Amino acid sequence: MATSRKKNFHYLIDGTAHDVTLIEETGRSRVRIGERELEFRALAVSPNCLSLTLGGRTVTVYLAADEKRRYIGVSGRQFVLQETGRTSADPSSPRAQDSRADASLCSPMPGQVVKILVREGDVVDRDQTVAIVEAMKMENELRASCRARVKRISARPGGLVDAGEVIVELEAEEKGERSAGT
Amino acid sequence: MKIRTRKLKRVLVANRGEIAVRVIRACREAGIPTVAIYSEADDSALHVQMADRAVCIGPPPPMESYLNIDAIIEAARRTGAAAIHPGYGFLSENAGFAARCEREGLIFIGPTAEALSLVGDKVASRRTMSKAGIPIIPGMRSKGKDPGRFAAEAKKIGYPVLIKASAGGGGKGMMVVDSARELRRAVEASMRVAGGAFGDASVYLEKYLPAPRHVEFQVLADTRGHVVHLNERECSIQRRHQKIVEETPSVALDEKLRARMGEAAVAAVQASGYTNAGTVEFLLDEDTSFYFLEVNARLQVEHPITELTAGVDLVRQQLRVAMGKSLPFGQKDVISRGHAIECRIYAEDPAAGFMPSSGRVAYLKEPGGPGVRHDCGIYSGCRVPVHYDPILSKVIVWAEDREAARRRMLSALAETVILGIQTTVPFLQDVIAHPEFAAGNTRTDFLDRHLLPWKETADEGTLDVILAAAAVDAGRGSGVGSGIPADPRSGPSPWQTGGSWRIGES
Repeated sequence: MATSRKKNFHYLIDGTAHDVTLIEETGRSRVRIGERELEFRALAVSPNCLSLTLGGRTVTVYLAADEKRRYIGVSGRQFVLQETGRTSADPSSPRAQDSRADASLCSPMPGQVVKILVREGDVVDRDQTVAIVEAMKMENELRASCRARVKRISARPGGLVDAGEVIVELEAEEKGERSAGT
Repeated sequence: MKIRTRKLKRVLVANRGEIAVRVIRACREAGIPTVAIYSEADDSALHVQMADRAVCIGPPPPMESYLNIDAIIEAARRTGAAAIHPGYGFLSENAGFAARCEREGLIFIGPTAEALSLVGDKVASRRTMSKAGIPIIPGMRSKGKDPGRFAAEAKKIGYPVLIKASAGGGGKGMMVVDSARELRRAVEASMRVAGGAFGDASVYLEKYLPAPRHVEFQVLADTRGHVVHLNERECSIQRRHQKIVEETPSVALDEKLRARMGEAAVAAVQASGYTNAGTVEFLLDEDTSFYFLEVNARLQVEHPITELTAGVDLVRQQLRVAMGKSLPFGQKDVISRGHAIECRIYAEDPAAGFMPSSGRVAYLKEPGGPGVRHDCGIYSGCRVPVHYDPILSKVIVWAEDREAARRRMLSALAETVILGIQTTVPFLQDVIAHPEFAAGNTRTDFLDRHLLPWKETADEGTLDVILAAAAVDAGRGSGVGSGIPADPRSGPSPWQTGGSWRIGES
């Protein structure tokens, strides 16, 4: 008698949600990704390494994880996956959430605040440099993601900040994505 | 005059990361015991594990640890080290440190303090080289702090100009300025970075050449007056004036130009009374005119490519020169065989404007195969601290010719696995694969012209592999997400088995 087992997984890669289903039947393993179903074979080489044959191509895949994320490496590239309990169609899934008026400037890495170039109440333009953070001996200019008003300055020049810590609270004057870059 | 040779009974390596590991290995091979130094952020670092002894020299900030001369000298005394190898960066070009070593009776593995202060001061060395008849880039011949002087000089030579740290290296503190309006802020920022990185905030200004090739010559000089050059390295692939890919030989040099530049490099070393290993950097213009840039008075990050083509172990030679020995070969014995390329792997996120990426290395697999070398300062599970240079490792390849080396590099990068932090590996793959790189059209504006800003691209096939692998791994229960190592005897269900089974074969 043929038995079939299914397991569902939901991953977030770079903000995009993906649904994956593993389907194990006697003598046959398939994976469903979105609408497509692919047959696969997997050899567990070590806890951190799988040899995966998918669609006729065999690739060596490396895996690791910490408390929050899964890291998968293939051909020198790394993908960061977050497991979510929700499907991509679920309106409460992170991607479906619209960006709010909060456009606050967060430090993208741990570092030291070198300079804050705005004052409370200022209006900054999109791409205007708001603060400079030094990490690994490089100065990184953090720019506003959209036109915004400075609500509060939360960090001091010379002070240390963690990754994700708010440096300057910004309130968007127009709709924009929440991001920071050099 | 008879020069005595001396033994190095123990060497302290005043550095961290891959270069400390490289130097420790050379000492081991020479039968010399080693002492590592480390900051509180590095207590479990690879170089600490590899040395025979290790001494904590202070808190994480470089000024309190790897730049803390008193603490380092004290560590050398306490451990009975006879010599100090400074690596690159940190105190490697600090004349005050070399002088202190000399006073304390310690051998500084590098040039004398006097030669260091001459070439280490980029402005003074511009004057020395100019006097010796070596062409230099137009610009200031003395450093300064007065913004007015910078503005006047910039106006004289015309924009764009380049602000550089007088004591600097590795592109730190270097800023291109396109107009008078930006000058003041750039000078201030450059001084701030220079002060923090080198303990000397002096900067100067020179004409900015927008798209030259960066060609440098490796030199070795012993304490008995012998100087040789070991041919060139081309390091034109730079981001923010920081080299990221280097190769030798350069496609831009023919035998005649190589001989001329090599002679200039040897003359530069002789003019400054320089000993030990060093590098003379030049900018090479389209019309094959070249300008002296600076002497890097230390082992370079990119030294391995010369080692592979010349068949010389540069760190071993550094140790021999420090022992007072003669170079075992002369200029006519120097060879260059095949082609070598190096890619520097940094803890940076190339898709996010090269933001530094620190944290825990969740997994590392080093590349292998014939002609592949990986100089590495990390391991699976190590932490990459935020306080230091983001260099993690270097992939170096050698092959018979440039194209073979390029293909070998692509293969080696594809084999390099660093998980848990973002690295420049995928970006380097795109550099090496680029048709303009393959054609040898490498100039310092290469990245800006062809690759920046950079976005990671993943085809559907790759995404399928990633998602399937994640699900298979999660499905096997003992996968990486569970934190439990796989046990092949753990049960009958294929999802819980971690040994060599194949899903779909039963």
